[in-house]
This record gives sequence, structure tokens and C-alpha cells, in this order.
Amino acid sequence: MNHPVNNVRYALMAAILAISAMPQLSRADIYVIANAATKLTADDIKLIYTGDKELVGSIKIKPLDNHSAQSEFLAKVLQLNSNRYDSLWTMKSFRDGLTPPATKSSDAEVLAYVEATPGAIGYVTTEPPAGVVVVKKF
Amino acid sequence: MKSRLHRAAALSLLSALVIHTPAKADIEGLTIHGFADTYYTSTSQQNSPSGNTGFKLGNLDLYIAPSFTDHIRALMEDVVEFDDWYPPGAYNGQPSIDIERLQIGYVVSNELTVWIGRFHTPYGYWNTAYHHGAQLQPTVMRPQFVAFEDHGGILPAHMDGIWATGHDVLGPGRITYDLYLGNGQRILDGALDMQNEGNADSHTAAGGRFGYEFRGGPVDSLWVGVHAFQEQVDNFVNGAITAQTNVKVAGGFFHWTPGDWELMGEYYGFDNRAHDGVGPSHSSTAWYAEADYTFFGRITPLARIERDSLSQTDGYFQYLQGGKSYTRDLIGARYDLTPQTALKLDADHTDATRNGGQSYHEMHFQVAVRF
Repeated sequence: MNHPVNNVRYALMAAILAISAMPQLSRADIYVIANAATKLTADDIKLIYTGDKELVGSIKIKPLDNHSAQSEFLAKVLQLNSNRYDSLWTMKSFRDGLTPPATKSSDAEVLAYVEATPGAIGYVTTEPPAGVVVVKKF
Repeated sequence: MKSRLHRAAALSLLSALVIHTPAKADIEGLTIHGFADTYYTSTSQQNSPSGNTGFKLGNLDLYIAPSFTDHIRALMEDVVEFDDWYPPGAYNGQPSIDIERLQIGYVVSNELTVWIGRFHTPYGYWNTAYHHGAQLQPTVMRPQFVAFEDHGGILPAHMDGIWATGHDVLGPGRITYDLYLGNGQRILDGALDMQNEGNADSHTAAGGRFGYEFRGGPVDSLWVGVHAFQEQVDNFVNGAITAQTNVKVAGGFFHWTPGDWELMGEYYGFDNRAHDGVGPSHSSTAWYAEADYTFFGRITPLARIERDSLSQTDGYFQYLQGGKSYTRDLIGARYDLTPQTALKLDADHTDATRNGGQSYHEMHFQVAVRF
């Protein structure tokens, strides 16, 4: 049977570990990537994901959400939570007829789509291979 | 009845297009979205045009927004509603189907989109921000003077015509603009009619809205602007014109969400004159101001005041069923059960005695969803 003092010690250690791990979670890198033929700037990212920029040249921009990294992206890049982001696109769709970003489930799916699709922009959590351009790392 | 048949036929066509369109990868946005609401109303108003105390069905609103090419898209919205208030006697408890919007647009650039078809008339904030999206709007009821045409509204909530809209970066924020031309309205049986089947009397409505939206700084998110429109509106009784009025409207609006606050207001000043130019012009005003604050991300108490001072010697307001002066004070609360589901409770006192109307109390409880 464990001594009560030991139990308290283990609990404190677990709490410290949990707290120290939390900032690591929120420090995951976000790489915003675009199709290699799509010229976008870092200033465009927020405009695109809030529906304020639709075209690059004469090509329609096709933004993607990455389900596995969406909360991180929203917090770091747009400073929004998922509810507000969802509401924003509901209003954009209802008022302006805009189509919300399609959602992919993983970095691999986002990479494949962005590489193959002119106008595509997305975000991943690991440094992407050649074939796409990094618009900005957050 | 003819109009109903046309609406039903149009809805069937729209449904057929949605159901039978081949699933091509380049046609985006064919997901059907919508809003639905149901509510309970208690009113002390006698012979209320909105019906009696009791449970009511609100709207079932369905819309799609397909993109056909990089530059061409459409917005189509149908509403099944159970509560036509005007013309008198229209309310029969049966559902009616309205094509709310049927607009096809060309995206010229990031700064300009041109739409043609039937659209929500861009004035003020409420009409384009919420319209039939009951779950989006903070209160159960719209401000009375910006109500829909068949609910006693005094402004053309819809327009058949052409609309140029856009925005561009300017300084720390962006300018927004809307310019439109469309069929002029007419008054039929006391309600504004937007002439969906053509401009029978060849009167054109024209208007615009210009605004500035601040981004960052102490007034981040503040959208403030001006709006104006003009048209000739004829009043018809049994097919005969009984009044012709040149309607001129100018005003302003704002919407601001500092933190958990939401503040908004709209003002309309009317300067109407008989079309034959005989007699003076008639000045009227209508405005509302609303404030709400959201606690814990989901509990939102709110308050609104509405003031309407409409000239009864004006051929426009004289014949509109909703063209009577009134004041209304409203308090309420909204609870967001989920991001898609809102419970709302409003209570208001309306005084319309200035033009011989009633003074009455109302209470509305609504459940509204979006999907």
C-alpha cells in the first residue's frame, strides 16, 4: 500500500507533466502551403480563409481545411475558435453565396490536393516536401 | 393562384436541377443549407395581422450556392412559410412557397461581383445580414419597419434587377459598396409588390450602399455606412392607380462587435412627393438601435428601440398597411443551445396610437436552427 505522501507526490508530478505538455501542444508548427503555380502572400492567408479574397489572377482560390490541424490553425492564424469560424462561413455562404473551404482529414490528403490543384491553398503540421510552396510558417 | 402555381413550378424546376445535376467535380456548393424556426406568440393586439396567440410555424428556408466556373456562381433560396400577413385575408394557415433569391453572379475580380436576378436589397445592416436566417438574428422578430413586404414592411426587402457589389482595402480597413437597379415596386392591396414577372409600369428603382469596415485598432469590426434609393411607387386598387409617389430614401447604419458586445442601428429618412409634383414633399423617419452582450459564449440578453414617424398625407405610407407611425421597446434574451440551435425570448411594447392604431404587448419564444 502506498504511503499517502507518495500519492500526493505522484499526483503533483503528474500535474506538472500535464501542465508542461500543454504548451507543447499549442506550439505545433503550421505550414500554410499553396500550389506551386499559385502566387500568394502571407497577407492573403487571412483574407482567403475569411472569404474576402476569391481570385488570384483569374484563377479561383480553393482553400482547404485540415481536420487534424484545424483548431491549431484557427487559433494561431485567424485568432478564431471553431464555432466562430463555422458561423463566419455560414454567413458568408448565406449572404454572398460563397462555398466554405473543403475539409481534408490529414496532412497527406492536403498535400496531395494542393500539389495537384491550381489555386489550392491548405495547411499542414510538418515541413512539406517539394512540389508545393510554403506561403508562411506559423 | 397563378402566382402560387408559378412558384410551385419554379420550385419543382429548382429541385429537379438539384437532384438530377450530374455530380461533376467542378460544380461546388450543391450542399443544401437552410434555416428553420418555430415559435410561440402571446399578443394583446386585437385582430393582429400576424395571427392569434399560440404556437406557430416560422420559416423553412433552403438555399444552395453552386459555383459553375472560377467566375460564375449562383445563389438560390426558397422559403416555405406559413405566415403571410398582407394583403388582408392572405393568412389562411396554409404554407406558401416563395423564391426568395434567384441570382446568378459573375466574379469580375476580388473587388467586384455583378449579380442579376432577384436578391436581398442592400440597404442598412439587417436586411442582407439576416433576412430569413432566423437562427442568425439576435431577436425573434425583425424591427417592424424592416419587415418583409408581406409582413407590413415599408422598404423593398427584395429587388429584381442587377446588383454590383464589392470591397477593397483602404487604410486600416476596407470600403464596401453596393449599387443596384431594378424593377420599381408598386403597392397592391396594401403591400409592396416587387414585380417578379416584369416591370409592368416601367418605373425603375435605383440605389446604393457605401460603407467602411475598420480592421484592428480601437474600433475593430465597426462597419459604418450610408444608403439611399429612389423609385416611383404607384398604388393600385382593383387594377386602377389611385396614387403615384416619388419615393426618396437616404440614411445610415452601423454594426459593431467590440468583444462580447454587439451594437447596431439603422436610420432612414424619407422625402416623398406626389409624382405630378403638386403639393409639398413629405418627410418621414424610421430608425432602430439594438445592443446585446454575450455571456459565456452562449447567453445573450438584448434590448432594442424602434421609432417610426411616417407622414399619413404621403401617398406611399397612406396606402401601405404597415405605413403607420409607431414606437416599440423590446427586451429579450437568446440562449445558444448549440452553435446551430438558438432559443430566443422577446417581449415588447408597441404604441401605434399616433395614427389611430393600438397600444399592445407581445411576447415571442422561438426555437431556431441552421443546418
